[in-house]
Amino acid sequence: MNQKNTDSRLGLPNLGLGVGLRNKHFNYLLEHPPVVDWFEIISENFMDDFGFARHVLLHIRQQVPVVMHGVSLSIGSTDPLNMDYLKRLKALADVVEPSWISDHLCWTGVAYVNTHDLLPMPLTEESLEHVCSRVMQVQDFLQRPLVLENPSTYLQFKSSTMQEWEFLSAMAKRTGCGLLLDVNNVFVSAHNHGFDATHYIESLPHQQIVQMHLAGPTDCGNLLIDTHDQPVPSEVWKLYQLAQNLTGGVSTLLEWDANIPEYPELVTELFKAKTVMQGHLPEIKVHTSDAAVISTPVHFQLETNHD
Amino acid sequence: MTDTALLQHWLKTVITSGGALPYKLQKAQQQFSLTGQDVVLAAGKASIQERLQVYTSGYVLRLLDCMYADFPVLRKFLGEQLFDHFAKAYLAFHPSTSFTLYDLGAGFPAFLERTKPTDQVPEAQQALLDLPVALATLERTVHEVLRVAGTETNTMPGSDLSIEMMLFQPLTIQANPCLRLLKLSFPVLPFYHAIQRDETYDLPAPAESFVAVCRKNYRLNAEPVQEWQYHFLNACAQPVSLSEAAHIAASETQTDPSALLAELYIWLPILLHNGAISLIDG
Repeated sequence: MNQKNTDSRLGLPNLGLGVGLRNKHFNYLLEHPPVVDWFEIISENFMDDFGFARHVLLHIRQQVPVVMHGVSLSIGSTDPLNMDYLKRLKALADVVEPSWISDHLCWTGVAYVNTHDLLPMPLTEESLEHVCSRVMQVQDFLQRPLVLENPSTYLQFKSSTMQEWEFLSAMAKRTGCGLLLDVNNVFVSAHNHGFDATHYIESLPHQQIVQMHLAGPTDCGNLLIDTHDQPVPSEVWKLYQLAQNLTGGVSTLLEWDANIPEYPELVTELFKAKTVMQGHLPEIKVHTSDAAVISTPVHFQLETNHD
Repeated sequence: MTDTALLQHWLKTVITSGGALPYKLQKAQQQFSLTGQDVVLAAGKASIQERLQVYTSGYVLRLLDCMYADFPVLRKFLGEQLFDHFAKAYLAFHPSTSFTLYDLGAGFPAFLERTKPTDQVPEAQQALLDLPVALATLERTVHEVLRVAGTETNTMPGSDLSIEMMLFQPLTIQANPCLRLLKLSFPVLPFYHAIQRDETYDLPAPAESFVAVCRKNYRLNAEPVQEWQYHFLNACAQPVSLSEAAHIAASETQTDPSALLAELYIWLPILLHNGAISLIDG
């Protein structure tokens, strides 16, 4: 492990178009074909669930590829790596046989407290060394390349000495890890911090981008918030088009984690990606809200299906 | 402490401390000698406070949403305002230390028990303070049973029981891993169902009650049980002969074991059918 891989997408396949496997759609998916090319699961949702959720997951896995996407690896935390977590992640991977395992360039907590949020990293040489060292450890443990996603951020640390795309590029180069490019997160962070989203995407090492995320944010005035509860707006589709062209095509996933629509509606939203790649950008404005909204909703992970 | 560690401890303190943002910032400054202006880049339209607020308010609202998902029946019973009051206090005193959100609400029933406002309620009504605790305990148990390993993937049948077997074979039985037994201070199960289904209900009178919760074919079975049945199922935590488990239950309840065995011949097939126990070979 920990060798540089110069193949496109680290040699991993372009799975096509996928959606997140969510409890709301479990019963539907037991009775209908998935229609999409692949599913992404929230790893933590299935690690300790041996009930109906696990049953549905294995049913889905028999039909299409599955990717494991985590939210609690906390790769940037200065706490020690949680080996119990990694063991459970690996145990789930042994069952699911995912196409790859991903998480976020973030930290979720420190001093053994988990905020369950994807918190921004100070972007310095010191933190880069720290993250790279941990990525290497995780890759050695999992015996596969880790794929890390750019988060949505709402603040930048004064002490940061590099831009996020520089940090991600250096991290990918030093560790051989893959990148999950969330074009919505680029859009959100670019708006919040005043950088050029196109330049961000153009500056990444495209051969190491393994996957993309699409989602819809909310405009809350001075800040865009990554709410995962809206259709994908035109600006995000435009960034997606650019990134797909630069990478030569990578697996695409639509995230929708609050106010989750019925499955057919979700798939219709996802399939807009096809028309975008044919040059037709949907005209969809960014949703605006004066009400309090939540970035990175997680409660969908606890919704249960009693039937 | 490295610079990265210092900044992480500072932001974690701002996010998880109680109170309004100025108080959170004050607390973080006291601990780490850093102000918001020292840490956060001031740029663009949004102020430093607005930027921090996304994380601080998001932290509470996000986890509160998780508590809503974990305790929907208790929330209906208490009402949104009172539930929020207890849930926010719980989250403030018990921040998550687990990588999984499934553990978030695990300590909530015990927290409700510990924080009962006994000095604010007349003595005659104090027993009612146990009702939310009982509801939360049941609700938490239901979620737990839905997620733990069940018998669905077992290859051995473990539930075929003939009359001949019951009468002429020494039976060894064991509780399935998804069985949970509750001893509660209210007969809370019908009450729980009534709230869940938005039916009208009367407040139950306090009375010791026992509930068995288990799962079969991914369906939840929650049933009220009698005290001897509770002890019988408790005795089945390890492989045990039917007669021995019956004797333990009889001893606990000072009942005639042969009378319990007679009842068990009727009840045992139901237990097997509901996924509460399995027959063990040999």
